Amino acid sequence: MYIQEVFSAIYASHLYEYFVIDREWKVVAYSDNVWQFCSQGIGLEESRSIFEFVPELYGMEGTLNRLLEGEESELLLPYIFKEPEYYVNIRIHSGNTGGETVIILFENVTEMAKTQQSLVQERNEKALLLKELSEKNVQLKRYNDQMQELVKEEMRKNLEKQKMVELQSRYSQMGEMISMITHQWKQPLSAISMIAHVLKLKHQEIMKKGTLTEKFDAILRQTEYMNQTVNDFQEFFKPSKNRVRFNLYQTVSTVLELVKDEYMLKRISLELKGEEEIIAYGYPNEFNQVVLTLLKNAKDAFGENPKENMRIEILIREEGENAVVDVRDNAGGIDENIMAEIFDLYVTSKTEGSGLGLNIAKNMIEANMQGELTARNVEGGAQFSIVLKQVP
Amino acid sequence: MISKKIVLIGDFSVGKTSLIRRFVDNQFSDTYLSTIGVKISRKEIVLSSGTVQGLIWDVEGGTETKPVNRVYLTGADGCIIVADVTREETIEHIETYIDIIHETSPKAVFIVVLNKVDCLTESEKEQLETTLLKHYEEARLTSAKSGEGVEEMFETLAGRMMETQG
Repeated sequence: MYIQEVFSAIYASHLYEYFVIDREWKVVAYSDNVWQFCSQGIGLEESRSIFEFVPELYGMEGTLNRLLEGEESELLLPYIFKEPEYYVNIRIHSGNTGGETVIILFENVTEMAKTQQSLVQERNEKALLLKELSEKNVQLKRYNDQMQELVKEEMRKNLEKQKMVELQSRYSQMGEMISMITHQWKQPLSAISMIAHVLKLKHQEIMKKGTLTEKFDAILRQTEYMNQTVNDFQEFFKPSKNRVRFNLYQTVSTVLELVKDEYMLKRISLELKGEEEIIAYGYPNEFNQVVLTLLKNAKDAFGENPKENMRIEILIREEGENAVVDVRDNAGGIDENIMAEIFDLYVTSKTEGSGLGLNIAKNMIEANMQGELTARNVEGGAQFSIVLKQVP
Repeated sequence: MISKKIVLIGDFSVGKTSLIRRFVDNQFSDTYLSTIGVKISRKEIVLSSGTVQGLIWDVEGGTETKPVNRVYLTGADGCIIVADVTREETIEHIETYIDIIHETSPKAVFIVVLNKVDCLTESEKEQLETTLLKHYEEARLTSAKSGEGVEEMFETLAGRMMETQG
């Protein structure tokens, strides 16, 4: 007896439909309502190839053969969608003991599939949402970090500006004070000078004797020198209003003239050499202050590391279209650990340094004069180089 | 006319159903409806060397907990591995799907498809073309939404199936 007859008896009134096919894949039997699971537009009849009715079996000839030979007992194709809206499980069994037929069983699982579909839909949507959420979180964290960096950077800039303003105000106050001292000193100096002139004229006869004339001339020279010095101080601390052409050699000479006595007292030699005719464009008084800062740093370095033959050399030279001022000392150099941050605010190699001077100096040269200020260690010490655009 | 079984596999929500819908019906919908089991569509693919009757299997997408059911790939002549360019992990899983094809349908030719390229800028697309696509023997950028590269991708696969399998 064919097993398909048993199937027919069992499944006739249930949710199952079936085909029975032979070794040539021709339909030899089928249940009454199996047509509902077949491809549309194909009339159902026996002796036609099963692949016309059940395209899902296309390419599975090998598996069907193995079922016929009894090498496999069952194949399940789960949840196959069928127009208009059925889902079926297709189970394929060996048909009879002689290996002559195969039974293809359709199990209507539409309800189960619909439940499954809504569960899968929910799970997938949740997974997509979670992924999106996690990406947004990463993005949010990145924005947050960027924002914090921006705030930190702005705070740093503000602090820097504030310090710069404080220092400029200090320079300005110092300038005013120098101006007042100059004013106060100029009158007595003029008076001394005048008295010396008058005395010299009135007592020409006595003066001819020699020594006294020399002394009066000395008084006049000294008063003139003091007058010149207070003028220089006044000029030095007055901020430059406009960018002008200025001679680097002469400008550096003025600075050295003002500070040379103090350095001499500390046994530090100052030496200026190089090109005397180079002209730069910028703010000469700010440039003076940068040179002064570099000289002071070298002096302080010697203070912490005193030695024989303390020396600061200033070399003015050309480099392509640029003018360069090298300030080089033999005070032992800058600690390499802080070299990369030496111009940063509050970074100092001195035990009592504020970490402001070099930062402000760099700003003055780079932001205000579009130049460059760099530092490096050389043999026995440090060298700072100011690079400015040379003008004809 | 020769029939060929073409199976689309890939992670869930990469656009397998949309690619088939664009190719078969020239339609697209933004609404995501997950596929259960498998749905088979038919489409004739006309090539210069002849016409192929494509039996296109739209297989339920794989997830980490539920991998693709290998029985659907039995007897496949061609496979399309689909990934979503906006989801990196779907691209990372391409190699896994290649292994599955080699194990279940060693004679099948396959093509790697990076879908949803409408979400990329032109320069991002160029970058993908010069980097990722070079990893695979046959790969294409597609957009089921705009239709970009879809028909050409199916025709390329059909052509390769004809060349290798007759």
